[in-house]
Amino acid sequence: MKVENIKFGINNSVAVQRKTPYRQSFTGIQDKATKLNMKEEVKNFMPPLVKGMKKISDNMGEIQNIIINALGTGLVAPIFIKWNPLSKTDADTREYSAWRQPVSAILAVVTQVGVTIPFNRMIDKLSNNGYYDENYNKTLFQDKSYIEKIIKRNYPYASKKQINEMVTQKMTDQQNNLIRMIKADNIVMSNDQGETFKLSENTYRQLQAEVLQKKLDYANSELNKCLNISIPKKTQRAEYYRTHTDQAHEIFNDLDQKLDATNSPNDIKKLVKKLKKQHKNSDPELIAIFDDILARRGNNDQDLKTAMQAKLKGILKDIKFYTEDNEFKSKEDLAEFIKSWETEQRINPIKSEIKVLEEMKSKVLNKDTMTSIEAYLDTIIQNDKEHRLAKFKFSKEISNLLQETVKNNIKAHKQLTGLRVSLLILPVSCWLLNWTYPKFMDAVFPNLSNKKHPNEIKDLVNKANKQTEVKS
Amino acid sequence: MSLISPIGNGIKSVNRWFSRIPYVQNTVCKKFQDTRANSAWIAGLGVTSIVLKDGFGCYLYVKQSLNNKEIPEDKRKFVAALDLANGGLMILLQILMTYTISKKVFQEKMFNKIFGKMFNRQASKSMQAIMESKDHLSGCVKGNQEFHKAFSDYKDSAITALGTLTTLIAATTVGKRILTPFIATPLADKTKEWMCRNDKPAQIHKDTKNTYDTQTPASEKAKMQQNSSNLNLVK
Repeated sequence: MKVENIKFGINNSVAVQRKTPYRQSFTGIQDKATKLNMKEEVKNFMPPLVKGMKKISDNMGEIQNIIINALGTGLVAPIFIKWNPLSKTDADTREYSAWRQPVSAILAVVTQVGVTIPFNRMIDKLSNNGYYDENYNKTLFQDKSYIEKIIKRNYPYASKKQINEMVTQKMTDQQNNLIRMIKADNIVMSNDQGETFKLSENTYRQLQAEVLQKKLDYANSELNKCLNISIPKKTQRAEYYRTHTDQAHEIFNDLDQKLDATNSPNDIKKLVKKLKKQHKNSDPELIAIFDDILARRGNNDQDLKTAMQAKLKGILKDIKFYTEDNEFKSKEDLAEFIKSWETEQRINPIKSEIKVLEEMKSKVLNKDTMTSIEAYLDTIIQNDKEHRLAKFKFSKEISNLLQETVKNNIKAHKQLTGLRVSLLILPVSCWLLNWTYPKFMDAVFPNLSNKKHPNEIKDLVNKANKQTEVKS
Repeated sequence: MSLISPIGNGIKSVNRWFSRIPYVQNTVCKKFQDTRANSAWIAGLGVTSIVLKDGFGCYLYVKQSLNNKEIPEDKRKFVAALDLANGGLMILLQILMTYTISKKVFQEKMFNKIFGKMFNRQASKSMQAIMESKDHLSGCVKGNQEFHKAFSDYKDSAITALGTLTTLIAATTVGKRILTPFIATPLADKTKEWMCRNDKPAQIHKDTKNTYDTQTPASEKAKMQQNSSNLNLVK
């Protein structure tokens, strides 16, 4: 019996030498936001074109390459062969040659995709059962389909609901085990014989450093955006509200009321376009606000209305804030206020985040234990519960990155394997084309095929002889 | 069964050996970790795969044509030359198209034209407002780094997919299937000349010599020959 049939190729008990509890959130309660799968939620609101591109990007590989190539061969090539103005060959020969392309495309897809799919499946199976080295080893986070297959084999009489529950439980257990292993600095994988081996120290430290570096890069870009884009832009806009209070009030109150009253937000967009033309010689900031409203988008009228309403409410709130709630005597006064407000609300928290991340990175480079790194983070959060890193779970992020890295490595391996096997199958494709093509043409297009030529020649000869007889 | 198992094990071992090649681990796998930054490289890998297959296919077709006894001997080299010119051009144009289309400047312009409005600041703000208006998401989206991460993931995917798709379509459809046929035919004559540069003049057998006259029908020619032989007899 295969090892995977019994224990999924994993020996979890060896890995966890030191069990440490999950780092609880400081209140002990997980809030609504952390429970959400934001990727899935965002997907529901993405335009269909973007969703399609995401699907293409996720499924990128040799099979996709073969299909795109075959589409060009099968659909485009015949047109340019048959109607090539530079060709001196007769129309029948061109049509005969053109039909070779779709036949060749279908054969290429059948043979090359036909051989690539089983290899891709084999790679998936081998990476799940631990046949590969650590870079392609999925024994700690096996695929849902793989787990389901094994559970079905081990519990043949279980209902679909029971199987689904067991699969979900197994996946959750694997995720929890992996996080426990990371907390213990001891990630232990299995090979296909059920033997365990530890993830190399180098790879582990690289993963830790990469998680922190990505977070650092993001924080630095936010800081940069805040200093160089947000503050100047906010100052300029606030200055417009301060100096053109009546105009701003009138235009945006009117737009807000009209938008609230309609179910067709595109009509309001048309109105904004009209206003943009009317005020083309006004303050450039007013034109920029119109452009912002026009750039609002939604997948349907209701969503678009919500997006535009949010913008208009925001504008009206800002007008009130900069003209009624506070009084600014000059642009400098305003700029000073915005700068100090942004510094307090955004720049200082980001700077603090960067400082903590740098410190954690140096601890990783010093090969400190995960316990001490997370303890350091906990201390920071205990002292500042609104800290930007309050929801940052280092071990969970490492777990995610490890899974992502292995997934991408397997993708690369699959693409190269697809390239190799489809190249090896090429002589078969060529032979099949030479064998199938004449037979296909004889069967489907006998007029173009050589099959009928002897008869045609006979007819022509008879015709020619008759004409000669008449002449003579 | 006894034969299948060693073959299967052999295939698995070869596959694992390939996965361990340092170039695969240190370069190819690394490139796949950041598909957005390396979209041109990944698209190039796809085109390389197609170009390799075209190269191998071209070699097979040329070899087949040169040894194909069904093609008259004096025409074999032209047919092979056509295959070679076609194959060479396909490869060259695909590489050229890949190099042009996958350029960062070109890709950025194309992305901004097609997807710019879907990923700019206002698009992000619109989505946040729409999501916040839903009961189960209210209060969870604005200022949530996870939202920005997910939003930018979609942007990265769109960049990668667009880069790969446009490069592959430009190379395999425009380069290989539209431009190649226009240049291949005149180039085939030149290739044949090059292939025949050291050949002796072709010896055409009297039985296979093409004597067909397109100007005069064969029956009239025969009649003329008969008349002239009759005249000779009279003389």
